[in-house]
Amino acid sequence: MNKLLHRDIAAASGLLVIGGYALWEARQMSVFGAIFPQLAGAGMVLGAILLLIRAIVWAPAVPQADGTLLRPLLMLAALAGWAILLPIFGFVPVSLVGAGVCMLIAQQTMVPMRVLALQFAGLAGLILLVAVLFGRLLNVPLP
Amino acid sequence: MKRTNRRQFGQGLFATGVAAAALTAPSILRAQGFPSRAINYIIPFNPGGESDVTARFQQPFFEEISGQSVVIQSKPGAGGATAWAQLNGFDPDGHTIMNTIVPHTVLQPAMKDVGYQTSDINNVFFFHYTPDAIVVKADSPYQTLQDLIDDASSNPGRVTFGGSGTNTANHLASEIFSSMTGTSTTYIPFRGSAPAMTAVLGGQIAAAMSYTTQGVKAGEQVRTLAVATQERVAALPDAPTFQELGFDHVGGAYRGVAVPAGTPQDIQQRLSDILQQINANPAFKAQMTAAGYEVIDVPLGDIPAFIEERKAAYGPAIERLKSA
Amino acid sequence: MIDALLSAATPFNLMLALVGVVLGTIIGALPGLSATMAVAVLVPFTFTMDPASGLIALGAVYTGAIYGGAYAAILVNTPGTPAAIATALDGFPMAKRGDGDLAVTISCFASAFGGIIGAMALLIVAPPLATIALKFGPVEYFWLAIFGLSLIAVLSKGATLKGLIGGALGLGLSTIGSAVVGGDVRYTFGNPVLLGGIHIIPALIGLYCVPVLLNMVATQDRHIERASEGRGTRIPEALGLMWRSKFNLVRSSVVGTVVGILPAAGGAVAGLVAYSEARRTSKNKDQFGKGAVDGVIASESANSATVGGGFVPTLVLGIPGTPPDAIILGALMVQGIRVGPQLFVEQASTVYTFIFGLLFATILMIPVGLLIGRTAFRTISSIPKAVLAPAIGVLIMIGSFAVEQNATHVVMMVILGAFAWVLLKFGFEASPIVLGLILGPIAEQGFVQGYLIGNAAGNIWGEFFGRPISLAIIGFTFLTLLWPLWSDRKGRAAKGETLYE
Repeated sequence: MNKLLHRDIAAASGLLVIGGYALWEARQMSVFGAIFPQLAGAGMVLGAILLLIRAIVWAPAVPQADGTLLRPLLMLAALAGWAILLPIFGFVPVSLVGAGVCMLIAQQTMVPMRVLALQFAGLAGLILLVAVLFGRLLNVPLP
Repeated sequence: MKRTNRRQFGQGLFATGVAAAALTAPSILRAQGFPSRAINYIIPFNPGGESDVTARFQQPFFEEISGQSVVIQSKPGAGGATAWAQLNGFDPDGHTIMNTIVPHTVLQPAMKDVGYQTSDINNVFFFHYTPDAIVVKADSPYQTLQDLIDDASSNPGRVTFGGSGTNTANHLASEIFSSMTGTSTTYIPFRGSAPAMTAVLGGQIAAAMSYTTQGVKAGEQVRTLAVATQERVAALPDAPTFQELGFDHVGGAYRGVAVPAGTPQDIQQRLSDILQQINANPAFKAQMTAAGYEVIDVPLGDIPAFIEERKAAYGPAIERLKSA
Repeated sequence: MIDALLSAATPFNLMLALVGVVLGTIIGALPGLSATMAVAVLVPFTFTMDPASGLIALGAVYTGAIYGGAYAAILVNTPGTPAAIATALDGFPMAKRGDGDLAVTISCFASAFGGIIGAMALLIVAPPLATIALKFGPVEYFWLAIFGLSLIAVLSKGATLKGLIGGALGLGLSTIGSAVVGGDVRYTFGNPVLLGGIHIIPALIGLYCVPVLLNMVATQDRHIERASEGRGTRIPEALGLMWRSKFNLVRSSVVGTVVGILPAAGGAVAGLVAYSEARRTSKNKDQFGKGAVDGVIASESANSATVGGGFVPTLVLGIPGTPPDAIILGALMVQGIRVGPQLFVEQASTVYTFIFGLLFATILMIPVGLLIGRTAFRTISSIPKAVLAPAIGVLIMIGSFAVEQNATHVVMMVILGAFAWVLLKFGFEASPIVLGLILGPIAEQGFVQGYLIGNAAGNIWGEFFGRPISLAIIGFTFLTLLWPLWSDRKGRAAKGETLYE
């Protein structure tokens, strides 16, 4: 594999950016408030540099991840949508849709409609149970 | 299908309009109906702290007077700033109320950008203050406040004062103390007043710039050298006031209740009345006094003057903290 | 004492203990609902009871919640409470290979054992033990946090560099918000919710659970191995394994009790310290992190022991040992009970009734835990992924919302989760980040406070290196750090090869 395309190089670049930002912001802080941000930023930058050197000089073997990327990305998008819409449309409706979407994403094989409906009914039951548990018993004001 | 939806949406809009009209109907009607459901009482600090405990003292009396339940919710963070910055985002119908503290809400916006201004906090009532107190360990060499002052003036910077956080009420009090006595001490910030007291008990720091309640809580393990009240605190009869010792310092953490901006005036007044009624209850007063709190009444009408007076009192110390 | 024992054993108090443990276990098992919240929610119900009964109910809920955190840690790799972080390290690998039932059973017995040791300490030696809380000053907390952070190097075996980078990332995350020392507003991007810092519960859910959820849908494999038929709860096997690790069990329980006494430490630190010690002294270090029974035993006995330990300074000194203790202390004050050294004399019957009640609750936890644990394991190992994934989705949403009834925490949870998932793809584990996040503030405050105190006394070096407890912790840190290096080198030399990742 081309050493310059090593996976760690991308990670190290990202770290350099985050660490650099942490250090940049820390310049405006008070003496005592800046110690740990600088420590963390310096740790990230230093680590990134070591990671770069290691990737270019030795290029350690990269373990191959199993599974596809498509489903996790869809799942992540579903979770993000779920989280953002939660305060707008309320817990129960958003969760019903969110759980339904997640359920479809998680189906690895074709399943009959009846099974799907049963599974969704189970999830809907869970959502209502959670809503009652939190909203009524634990006095958590749900959105 | 689509058309019906749109019509339903239109009806929805109409209904909202009616509701809005109802909301602006004659105010007396509304205040009579208030509170019409459970009140959310938000505490910007951890459960178990002074704000939480005093709110729980109020809770049963509030429920008795208003006939509605009070749900205490804690939203801690950044010395209260997290919650206060979000105060005006809640529905302004009086059913969401929030605990506030002066000097915190004066000091925080003055020192840093914390997402709110002092004027953003609509207080309806201040119900007590937790007086400042200087607390040392029982076996501390400081028998009196004068011992501590003597040590601090002969060894500048040597005497360590622990308190809750940086740019906080305790920090401000320690700054006021320094300028009042002409001494120089080292202020050490802790994550709350309880950890500062622990460090006093452990002998890691010389004294705590804390509250009377902490002196009461720690009992015989500590000695309270001075309290910032007009008269001695009932729960700490042996502790002299600053005024007795010749220093003009009365104050502490003034706790109030605020509502989101835009809450109708009559509902604010009703809340102020309810809180004043709670304060007048002897059982409530007794609970508060036993724990070291000083009950005060600052009703809605007196709030602007009260805030201005406090701002003026803190002004010089805030300027010094800023330049430090 | 006998009076107290009898009054703790009244049907009403026993019922409270049972209901409390059941409720606590269930609340603790849900990701996002911590022991602190369980106690906070139930406090108002206890105001109508007499103080001893109220305390028993709260103590039982607390004990149950700390234990319940183990289920989510073992079965979903998401510590339900921060106290269960170290449990997930080995519990989840055990579940993956099909030993989830064994892990749950062991965690139940280990928790009960730790809980009993903690409660016994409270019963017998509370007043002298409480002084430990006072011996720990800012500097000691600083070194304790450093000791905890040294675990990063140990945990990330073979990927030490990435582990350390993860630790730095975690430290960076921990500095977000308004600083206790210095008062700076750091990295908040003008968001008022971030002012309060990254809340640990949504962070735990995001960093641990979201990657599990995303990987769950990536492959067709089972989430965790199903139990083979007719195996029951594997009680004899679990008891046998525990007998073999009796030293680990006792040591971890003592560690948990002592760390519980320290007001700024808490269950997470107790579990991690006990885990680290168990690993250091184990003959099979390689197994740690891959499903070592000893890891689960250490973490669970230690975090349950913090319950009893935490009550020691709470009742004796009025200093809450752990966050739930702070709430219980507040409840005591509302009830008009003054804590402090005189409490054990003036209110002896209340206090001892409570302690016996706590012991009963801990013992009741065994049948309750085995039963609930078995159900949880059966459910999670048998329902299809297509239902499990969205169900976990529902729980993490409500969990991160309920922490402070704030929708921003939910968004933060998803963002951190995406971050952790991407990092995982690049070979960075979540645990070092979490360690940095939890221990960062303890280290930072301890360091600055220690520095200021040392500066005031004109002796900064003496403050950090001149105190016996500090030196002992520093010694343990070096042992933890150097031991694996040494045994690693021996291993490498034997294999005659160099490994990087």
